[in-house]
Amino acid sequence: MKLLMVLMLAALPLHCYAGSGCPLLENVISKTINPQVSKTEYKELLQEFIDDNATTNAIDELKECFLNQTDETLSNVEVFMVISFSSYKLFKSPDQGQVGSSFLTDNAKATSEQAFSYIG
Amino acid sequence: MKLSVCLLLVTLALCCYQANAEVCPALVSELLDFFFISEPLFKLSLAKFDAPPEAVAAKLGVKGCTDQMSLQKRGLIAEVLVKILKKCSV
Repeated sequence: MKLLMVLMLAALPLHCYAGSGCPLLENVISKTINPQVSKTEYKELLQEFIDDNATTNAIDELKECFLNQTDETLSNVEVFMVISFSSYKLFKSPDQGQVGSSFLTDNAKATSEQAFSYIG
Repeated sequence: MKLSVCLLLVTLALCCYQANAEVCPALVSELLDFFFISEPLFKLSLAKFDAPPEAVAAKLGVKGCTDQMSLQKRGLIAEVLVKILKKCSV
Protein backbone atom coordinates (compact mmCIF):
# COMPACT_ATOMS: atom_id res chain seq x y z
CA MET A 1 0.00 0.00 0.00
CA LYS A 2 2.86 2.34 0.87
CA LEU A 3 4.55 1.46 -2.41
CA LEU A 4 1.33 2.30 -4.27
CA MET A 5 1.23 5.70 -2.56
CA VAL A 6 4.86 6.40 -3.46
CA LEU A 7 4.28 5.41 -7.10
CA MET A 8 1.15 7.55 -7.36
CA LEU A 9 2.87 10.55 -5.81
CA ALA A 10 5.79 10.11 -8.20
CA ALA A 11 3.42 9.89 -11.16
CA LEU A 12 1.45 12.98 -10.13
CA PRO A 13 3.75 15.73 -11.46
CA LEU A 14 4.58 13.76 -14.60
CA HIS A 15 0.97 12.98 -15.38
CA CYS A 16 -0.30 16.49 -14.78
CA TYR A 17 2.37 18.68 -16.27
CA ALA A 18 3.34 16.83 -19.41
CA GLY A 19 1.11 17.25 -22.43
CA SER A 20 0.02 20.04 -24.72
CA GLY A 21 -2.98 21.03 -22.62
CA CYS A 22 -5.22 20.10 -25.56
CA PRO A 23 -5.93 16.38 -26.09
CA LEU A 24 -7.91 17.14 -29.26
CA LEU A 25 -4.90 18.91 -30.78
CA GLU A 26 -2.64 16.00 -29.80
CA ASN A 27 -5.05 13.59 -31.49
CA VAL A 28 -5.18 15.68 -34.69
CA ILE A 29 -1.37 15.94 -34.83
CA SER A 30 -1.04 12.21 -34.22
CA LYS A 31 -3.48 11.45 -37.05
CA THR A 32 -1.66 13.91 -39.32
CA ILE A 33 1.62 12.05 -38.83
CA ASN A 34 0.19 8.51 -38.88
CA PRO A 35 0.59 6.98 -42.38
CA GLN A 36 -2.15 4.43 -41.59
CA VAL A 37 -4.71 7.24 -41.50
CA SER A 38 -6.08 7.89 -44.99
CA LYS A 39 -7.00 11.30 -46.40
CA THR A 40 -10.68 10.37 -46.11
CA GLU A 41 -10.39 9.42 -42.41
CA TYR A 42 -8.35 12.55 -41.77
CA LYS A 43 -10.98 14.80 -43.36
CA GLU A 44 -13.72 13.07 -41.34
CA LEU A 45 -11.78 13.81 -38.15
CA LEU A 46 -11.53 17.51 -39.06
CA GLN A 47 -15.00 17.80 -40.62
CA GLU A 48 -16.43 20.11 -37.94
CA PHE A 49 -13.55 22.56 -38.50
CA ILE A 50 -13.78 22.62 -42.31
CA ASP A 51 -16.02 25.30 -43.83
CA ASP A 52 -15.41 25.04 -47.57
CA ASN A 53 -13.77 23.17 -50.45
CA ALA A 54 -10.67 25.36 -50.35
CA THR A 55 -10.00 24.25 -46.75
CA THR A 56 -10.70 20.62 -47.71
CA ASN A 57 -8.10 20.87 -50.49
CA ALA A 58 -5.57 22.46 -48.13
CA ILE A 59 -6.13 19.67 -45.58
CA ASP A 60 -5.71 17.10 -48.37
CA GLU A 61 -2.43 18.66 -49.43
CA LEU A 62 -1.16 18.77 -45.85
CA LYS A 63 -1.91 15.07 -45.34
CA GLU A 64 -0.29 14.29 -48.70
CA CYS A 65 2.95 15.90 -47.48
CA PHE A 66 3.04 13.47 -44.56
CA LEU A 67 2.00 10.45 -46.64
CA ASN A 68 4.90 11.16 -49.01
CA GLN A 69 7.49 10.85 -46.22
CA THR A 70 9.39 7.68 -45.34
CA ASP A 71 8.43 5.69 -42.23
CA GLU A 72 11.74 6.69 -40.65
CA THR A 73 11.04 10.40 -41.19
CA LEU A 74 7.54 10.06 -39.75
CA SER A 75 8.76 8.21 -36.67
CA ASN A 76 11.32 10.99 -36.12
CA VAL A 77 8.59 13.63 -36.50
CA GLU A 78 6.62 11.69 -33.89
CA VAL A 79 9.66 11.78 -31.57
CA PHE A 80 9.72 15.53 -32.03
CA MET A 81 6.04 15.90 -31.18
CA VAL A 82 6.46 13.83 -28.00
CA ILE A 83 9.27 16.21 -26.98
CA SER A 84 7.06 19.22 -27.84
CA PHE A 85 4.17 17.92 -25.74
CA SER A 86 6.46 17.06 -22.84
CA SER A 87 8.06 20.49 -22.93
CA TYR A 88 4.89 21.95 -21.39
CA LYS A 89 6.31 21.16 -17.96
CA LEU A 90 9.29 23.42 -18.74
CA PHE A 91 6.99 26.37 -19.28
CA LYS A 92 4.54 25.95 -16.44
CA SER A 93 4.95 25.32 -12.75
CA PRO A 94 2.13 23.86 -10.59
CA ASP A 95 0.79 27.32 -9.74
CA GLN A 96 0.66 28.09 -13.49
CA GLY A 97 3.63 30.45 -13.12
CA GLN A 98 6.49 30.21 -15.57
CA VAL A 99 9.72 28.44 -14.77
CA GLY A 100 13.00 27.77 -16.53
CA SER A 101 15.60 30.05 -18.05
CA SER A 102 14.76 33.64 -18.98
CA PHE A 103 14.98 32.65 -22.66
CA LEU A 104 12.33 29.99 -22.17
CA THR A 105 10.02 32.12 -20.07
CA ASP A 106 10.34 35.23 -22.24
CA ASN A 107 9.74 33.14 -25.33
CA ALA A 108 6.72 31.46 -23.75
CA LYS A 109 5.22 34.84 -22.82
CA ALA A 110 5.76 36.23 -26.30
CA THR A 111 4.34 33.21 -28.11
CA SER A 112 1.39 33.00 -25.74
CA GLU A 113 0.43 36.63 -26.37
CA GLN A 114 0.98 36.29 -30.11
CA ALA A 115 -0.98 33.06 -30.46
CA PHE A 116 -3.89 33.96 -28.24
CA SER A 117 -4.31 37.42 -29.74
CA TYR A 118 -4.56 35.58 -33.07
CA ILE A 119 -7.16 33.20 -31.61
CA GLY A 120 -9.22 35.73 -29.67
CA MET B 1 -5.15 4.89 4.55
CA LYS B 2 -8.23 4.64 2.33
CA LEU B 3 -8.92 8.30 3.00
CA SER B 4 -5.42 9.32 1.92
CA VAL B 5 -5.78 7.37 -1.35
CA CYS B 6 -9.14 9.08 -1.98
CA LEU B 7 -7.61 12.49 -1.29
CA LEU B 8 -4.73 11.68 -3.62
CA LEU B 9 -7.12 10.74 -6.43
CA VAL B 10 -9.15 13.93 -5.93
CA THR B 11 -5.93 15.97 -5.97
CA LEU B 12 -4.86 14.19 -9.16
CA ALA B 13 -8.17 15.00 -10.86
CA LEU B 14 -8.07 18.67 -9.85
CA CYS B 15 -4.42 19.02 -10.75
CA CYS B 16 -4.89 17.55 -14.21
CA TYR B 17 -7.99 19.64 -14.83
CA GLN B 18 -5.92 22.74 -14.09
CA ALA B 19 -3.00 21.58 -16.21
CA ASN B 20 -5.22 21.03 -19.23
CA ALA B 21 -6.99 24.37 -18.93
CA GLU B 22 -4.44 26.18 -21.08
CA VAL B 23 -2.72 25.17 -24.30
CA CYS B 24 1.07 25.02 -24.20
CA PRO B 25 2.25 28.31 -25.76
CA ALA B 26 5.50 26.81 -27.07
CA LEU B 27 3.54 24.20 -28.99
CA VAL B 28 1.16 26.79 -30.45
CA SER B 29 4.13 28.87 -31.54
CA GLU B 30 5.86 25.85 -33.09
CA LEU B 31 2.73 24.86 -35.03
CA LEU B 32 2.22 28.33 -36.47
CA ASP B 33 5.94 28.79 -37.17
CA PHE B 34 5.93 25.48 -39.07
CA PHE B 35 3.61 27.00 -41.66
CA PHE B 36 4.73 30.60 -41.81
CA ILE B 37 8.42 31.21 -41.12
CA SER B 38 11.47 30.44 -43.24
CA GLU B 39 13.43 27.22 -42.73
CA PRO B 40 16.52 28.83 -41.10
CA LEU B 41 14.34 30.74 -38.61
CA PHE B 42 12.23 27.66 -37.93
CA LYS B 43 15.35 25.59 -37.26
CA LEU B 44 16.42 28.25 -34.77
CA SER B 45 13.02 28.22 -33.06
CA LEU B 46 13.20 24.41 -32.68
CA ALA B 47 16.39 24.70 -30.63
CA LYS B 48 14.37 25.40 -27.47
CA PHE B 49 13.01 21.83 -27.53
CA ASP B 50 16.53 20.34 -27.45
CA ALA B 51 15.41 17.52 -29.76
CA PRO B 52 17.75 14.97 -31.41
CA PRO B 53 19.20 16.18 -34.75
CA GLU B 54 17.37 13.46 -36.71
CA ALA B 55 14.03 14.59 -35.25
CA VAL B 56 14.77 18.20 -36.25
CA ALA B 57 15.85 17.05 -39.74
CA ALA B 58 12.61 15.07 -40.12
CA LYS B 59 10.53 18.08 -39.10
CA LEU B 60 12.41 20.27 -41.59
CA GLY B 61 11.93 17.63 -44.28
CA VAL B 62 8.15 17.79 -43.91
CA LYS B 63 8.31 21.58 -43.76
CA GLY B 64 10.07 21.48 -47.14
CA CYS B 65 6.88 19.94 -48.53
CA THR B 66 4.39 22.23 -46.78
CA ASP B 67 6.41 25.27 -47.88
CA GLN B 68 5.48 24.34 -51.46
CA MET B 69 1.83 24.98 -50.60
CA SER B 70 0.44 28.42 -51.37
CA LEU B 71 0.34 30.92 -48.52
CA GLN B 72 -3.45 30.98 -48.82
CA LYS B 73 -3.69 27.21 -48.26
CA ARG B 74 -1.34 27.39 -45.29
CA GLY B 75 -3.53 30.17 -43.91
CA LEU B 76 -6.59 27.92 -44.19
CA ILE B 77 -4.78 25.15 -42.29
CA ALA B 78 -3.81 27.67 -39.60
CA GLU B 79 -7.49 28.66 -39.32
CA VAL B 80 -8.39 25.01 -38.69
CA LEU B 81 -5.70 24.80 -35.99
CA VAL B 82 -7.03 27.98 -34.39
CA LYS B 83 -10.56 26.50 -34.30
CA ILE B 84 -9.17 23.38 -32.59
CA LEU B 85 -7.32 25.55 -30.06
CA LYS B 86 -10.46 27.60 -29.42
CA LYS B 87 -12.36 24.40 -28.69
CA CYS B 88 -9.67 23.42 -26.17
CA SER B 89 -9.63 26.85 -24.53
CA VAL B 90 -13.37 26.79 -23.75
